[in-house]
Amino acid sequence: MEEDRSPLRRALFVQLLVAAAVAALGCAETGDSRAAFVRTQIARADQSLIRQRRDLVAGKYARMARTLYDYYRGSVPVFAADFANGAEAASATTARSAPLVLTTGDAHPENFGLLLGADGVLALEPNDFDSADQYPFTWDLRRLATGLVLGVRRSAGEAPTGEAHASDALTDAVVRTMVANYVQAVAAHADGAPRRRFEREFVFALAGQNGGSLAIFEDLFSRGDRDVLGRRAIRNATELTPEGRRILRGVDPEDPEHLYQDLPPSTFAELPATLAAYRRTLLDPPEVAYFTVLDAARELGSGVASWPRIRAQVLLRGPTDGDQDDVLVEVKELTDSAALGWLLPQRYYGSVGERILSTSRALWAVPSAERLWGVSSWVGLPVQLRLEEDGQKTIRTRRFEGDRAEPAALEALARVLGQLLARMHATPPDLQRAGDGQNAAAAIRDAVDVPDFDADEARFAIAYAGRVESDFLLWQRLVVSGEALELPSAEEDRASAAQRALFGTPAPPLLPELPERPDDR
Amino acid sequence: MIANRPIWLLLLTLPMAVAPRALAQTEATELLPAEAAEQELAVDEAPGDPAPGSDDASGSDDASGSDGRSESDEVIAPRDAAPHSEAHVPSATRVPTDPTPPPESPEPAEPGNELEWLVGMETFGVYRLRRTLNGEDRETGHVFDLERTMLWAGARYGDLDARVMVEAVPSGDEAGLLAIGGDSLVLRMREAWAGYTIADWVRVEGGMIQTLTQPLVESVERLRPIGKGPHERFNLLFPADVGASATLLMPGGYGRVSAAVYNGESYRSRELNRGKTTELFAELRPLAGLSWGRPLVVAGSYILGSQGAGSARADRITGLLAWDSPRLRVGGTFTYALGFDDNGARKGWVLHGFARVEPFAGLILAARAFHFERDVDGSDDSLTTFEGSVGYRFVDPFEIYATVERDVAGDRTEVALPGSDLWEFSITMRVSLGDPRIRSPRLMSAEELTP
Repeated sequence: MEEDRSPLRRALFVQLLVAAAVAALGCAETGDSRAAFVRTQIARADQSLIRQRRDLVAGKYARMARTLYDYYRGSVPVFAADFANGAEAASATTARSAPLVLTTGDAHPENFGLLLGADGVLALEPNDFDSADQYPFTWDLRRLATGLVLGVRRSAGEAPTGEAHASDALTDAVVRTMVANYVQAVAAHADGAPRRRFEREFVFALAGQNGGSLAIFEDLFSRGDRDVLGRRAIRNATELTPEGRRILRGVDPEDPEHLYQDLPPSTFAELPATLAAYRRTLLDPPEVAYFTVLDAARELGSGVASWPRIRAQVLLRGPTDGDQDDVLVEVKELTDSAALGWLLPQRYYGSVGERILSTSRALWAVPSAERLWGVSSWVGLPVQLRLEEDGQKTIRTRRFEGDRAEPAALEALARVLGQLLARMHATPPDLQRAGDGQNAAAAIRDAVDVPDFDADEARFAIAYAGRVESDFLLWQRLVVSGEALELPSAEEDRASAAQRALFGTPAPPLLPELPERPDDR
Repeated sequence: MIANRPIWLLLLTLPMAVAPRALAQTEATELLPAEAAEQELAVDEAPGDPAPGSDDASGSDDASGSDGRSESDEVIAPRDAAPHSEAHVPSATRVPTDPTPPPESPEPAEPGNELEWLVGMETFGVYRLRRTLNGEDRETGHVFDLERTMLWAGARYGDLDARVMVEAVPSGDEAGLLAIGGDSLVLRMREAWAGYTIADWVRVEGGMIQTLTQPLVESVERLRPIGKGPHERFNLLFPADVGASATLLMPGGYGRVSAAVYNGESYRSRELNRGKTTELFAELRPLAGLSWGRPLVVAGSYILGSQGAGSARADRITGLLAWDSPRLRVGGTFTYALGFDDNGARKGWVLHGFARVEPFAGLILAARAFHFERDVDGSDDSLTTFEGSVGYRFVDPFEIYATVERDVAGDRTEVALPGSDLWEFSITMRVSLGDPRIRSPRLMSAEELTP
């Protein structure tokens, strides 16, 4: 009898043990706060990087915690989750239809800038294709509209408080101007208007309509011309030595987090193969000798979302052996886009590189808008290569000051970017990957033919900008407390010695000072 | 299909070659009395050569295994005995085609203490033709896809058993950085667990284990070949996770009570927080004492969960009421979700109904409908799905389904998820080879659990 009861006792003991364990483990604290949501979205997107390149991610997060606009640039995963959740959705009439279009996926103002074409002409184009893919047209429209609101508020010197802003009337006007121009241009493209290149004269003509100020674009183009002519990138980033030109190492005097270091020899040795494959992706490639490597350096502390990605500057021989025409190119690691694959077949490109090449050439007015923009792979990583040219100026919201912060200048900016976004979305059917070979512009024109479309979009942008501002304050606290980087890890997550050498040693992150909260007192 | 029959017969022999003991045991134990009698007749009439479409190949009534289960999961003997032997024919009468006499063992092994190996695979190949209705915009897409491909290998020794299961998945899924280029299909671990049964009424498991609620829902409705059910489709419940569980089996086959603790990120992701997810589960067969009433199943579970680096709340309350017999499966579930999609403040619910009928051997008629309220605090944020399907089992491991699906999205949902309002027609081919019987008894039916 005793023998029969022994297994039962054993089983009962196990059950009790399990109940105790469940009770203990089940009491884990959970969060339903916005901070938990923000932290989770960003950590999910970066989890492999946090585990393997923690120091680099720390730099990215610190940068995102320093300014509101940098937070916006780095928080695409939060925007994607909010979009899928329908957060701050505008009225149903706005987006009852949202056809997918080929686009950059992150069309905020600082992802537009000048590109130096094969013909030597500077033109305003999208200049970041890291997330380019097929998206609902409202996705990009709202990224741009929200970015404009944040830029306008930055121009007014407003601190992010999450409260009502004095400049709401201006932001409303700016967003409405952008949307109205977008709608107007989409309709024109649907009727067959050509996809024009946004050269200086065309941009100035657009910006100057309705009494608009040219201040932002005059600043952009004049600085671009100056730096192209002066070969500023080569002058500032390299030095001439008796052995020839080389890239300067060390800290950028203007940005203590931006620095250049030696590449590991094995990584340097891979560059010729990388460049040979890259050359084959160019539309009109220079001769092979053009790509002879003179020097290369690991670049750290550049970008926001791409901060932890491997980035390097490579100095090439250029057209001749002389040191006056050496060429600097940037090599940047690529990753998957943020697109969620809404329609079959859900993935439209065989590789990351193919996605970058296809989308950039389709979205630019001319495929050779930047003649050295290509892709390759480097030490097993998919990479993008582009001309490093200081004349290729990017629109920067921090420069919205003085006459560039005037309402007439900001509305002119909105007018131009609205028209440029429309041109991007009006990609010809033969370049589209999704849909039935339809006219994308016509589909959007039909979709936006609803009452108060511009008002709805402005309402969304202002509401979502408020959300971004309050998220930014939460994010600052997550970064300063170290919670943003907390993730269970294991020994096998540690990078190998070779990987660590490639990752480099970033400067210590500069953490922001937290604003005092009422409950801190 | 007749032309293809030799191929499938060949495929049929594969698991028999790998695990002859297991297959023989399956066949010996999986039949209900009436079916066993039919099988005996069939064997007498056409030994070893079942007609296409007949039920003879296995005697199984069901088509769809969930989580790697073949239809033979429906009624499978417990590890070490033939507790409902009166309901089953001896294995000798079920395997008349094998002319090789069973090898004589020098010493009869002690029952239940022999090492058994069981391997198998299941795959769904799908062709989809989808028409999305995005407002005035219409788009058509079609694609061939591998909806599911799983391989498993299990072993059992006495009271101890274990299984490893892998599944195919696109490498680009989640943090695919430095993974295989493009979106290659790669294998990832879905299950890897060991289990131990104590005194025949308590069982513990650890490792990457099956969860409790989702496998039950799938195994009762058996509609996985026509598409994911709502819980898996909307990431409300997951079929497996890393953790441990304990199950208390009620006497008389009246059900089971289980508790489990997991990481909470499912088998698709590593742990992202310090919190753990707890699942409390009960499955009752209230009419188990009546032979006709055994298929009635009532189940309920509560999941106290956390997800993501921010430990966002992810609690679930689920109830199930169903009739779970081989030829008729009908029922429904309701799940209330407190926190999902990494948003702890979000609340939603799913109401789900299904029916699956086999009016005669081989023919499968199925219907499923569910409504997902994505945000109880918002308006027009919902998705309603209707599915109808006709399937046919040509031979036991091979079925084909033709399915029509209509998804109706609320206005707000359509904004958030373009392409969610759609019509879809799909053809699914399901092949299942081998016997995934090495598994937790909590997945066994009332028949199996009857002492």
